[in-house]
Amino acid sequence: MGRKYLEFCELRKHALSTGKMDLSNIDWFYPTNLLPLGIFIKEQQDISVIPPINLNVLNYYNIITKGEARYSSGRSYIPIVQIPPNEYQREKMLEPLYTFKNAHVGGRNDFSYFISELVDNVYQHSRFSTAYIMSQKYARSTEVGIIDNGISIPGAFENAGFEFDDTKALSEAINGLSTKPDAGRGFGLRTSIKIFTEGLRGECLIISRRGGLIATKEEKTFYEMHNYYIFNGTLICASVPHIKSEVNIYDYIE
Amino acid sequence: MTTLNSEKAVYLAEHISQNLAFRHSADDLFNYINNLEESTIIVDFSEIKFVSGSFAHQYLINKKATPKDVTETNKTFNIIQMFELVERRNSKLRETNNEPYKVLKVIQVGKTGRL
Repeated sequence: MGRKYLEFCELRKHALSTGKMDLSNIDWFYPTNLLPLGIFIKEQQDISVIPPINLNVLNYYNIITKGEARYSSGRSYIPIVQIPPNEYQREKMLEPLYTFKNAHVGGRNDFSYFISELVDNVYQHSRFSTAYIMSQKYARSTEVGIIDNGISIPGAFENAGFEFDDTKALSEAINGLSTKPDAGRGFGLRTSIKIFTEGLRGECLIISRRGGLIATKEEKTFYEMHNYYIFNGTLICASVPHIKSEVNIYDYIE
Repeated sequence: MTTLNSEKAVYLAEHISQNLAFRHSADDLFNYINNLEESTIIVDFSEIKFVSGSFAHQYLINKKATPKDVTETNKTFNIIQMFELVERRNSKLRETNNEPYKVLKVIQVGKTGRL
C-alpha cells in the first residue's frame, strides 16, 4: 500500500513542477493513491489533468472529478463517498458503506467499526474541508481507505499542547493517547488497527504530515517522510485478506 | 411517541439512523431529550444494527449528566456488549508511551523497503 502512496507523491511532484497531472499511464487506482489524488485535484484547480487512457481507470477518475457516487450492489467497490463537513446527514451519509456486502471484511461489524470510528475521528479532530472514504474489493483482499485534508494527527497533538515530532505523534495516537482530556477516549484508531492487523491479519497504512506507519500483526514500522512525501492531512488505509470465518470485534475492543 | 404524560419513548432508528456512529449524534440525542417535557425517557434500540464505541461512550457521558431518568430498551447482545466494554474505558486515561519504536526515513521511492 505504501508504494502506491509514494507513486501518487511522484505524480504530485511532477504536476507541481509542470502544471500537468499526467495520469495517462496509470494502470489501476487503489484507495492509497486515488484518495490523495482526489484531494490534490480538488485543491489544485489550476493544474490540468491528462486523463488515464485505460477506460476502467478513466471511469474511476470520473468518480473523483465529476462527483459520480451512485451506489450499485453489483460493483466490487464502494464509490468514493465525500464526508460532509457540516453536521447534517452525517449518519445517513455512511449508509451505502454499511450496506455494501462486498466490503464486509471479516464480518459486517468489523467494517462498520472501522468506518464509524475513523469517520468520527475526522469529525472530532481534523477540522477538514474535504474528506473521502472508499473501499475496493480485489480477488484476494479488500482495501478500505479514508482521507481528510485537515490539521493532521501531529497537528492535533500540537494544538492540544503536546510537543511530539510527527512520527512520535503517530506512535502516541495508535497507542491510544487522546488529544481530548476526557477519560475513556483514544480507543477508536487503536482498536481499529488491532482488529485489522491482529483479528483480520491485514495491513494498515497511515500517512499524516511527515509521519508514516505500516502496521501488521507482527510489527509496526514508523516512517519519517521526505518533503516530497508529506501529506497535509491524514490518510488511513487497510488491506485485509479474504478469510472465511467472521472475526468477533468485541474480542479486540478494549 | 408519548406513552404516559411523564414518559416518552425515543426510537433511535427513526431519530438518528440504524447505525449509530458519531459522538455528535449522541450529543444531539441528549440535547433533544433534555428539552423534552417528560422526565422519564425510554431510549428504544429496536432495529439498530450497529453502535460504535464512540457513540456508546458519548451516550454514557451524556446519560450521566442529564437530569432526566433515561433507560434503554430492546438492546441486542452486541449493543449490550459494546456499552459494557465502553463503560470500562471510563476509568482509563492513557499517558504518553515511552517505549522505543523503529523509525525509517523515506527519502526516495524504492529505498525504503516495504513502504
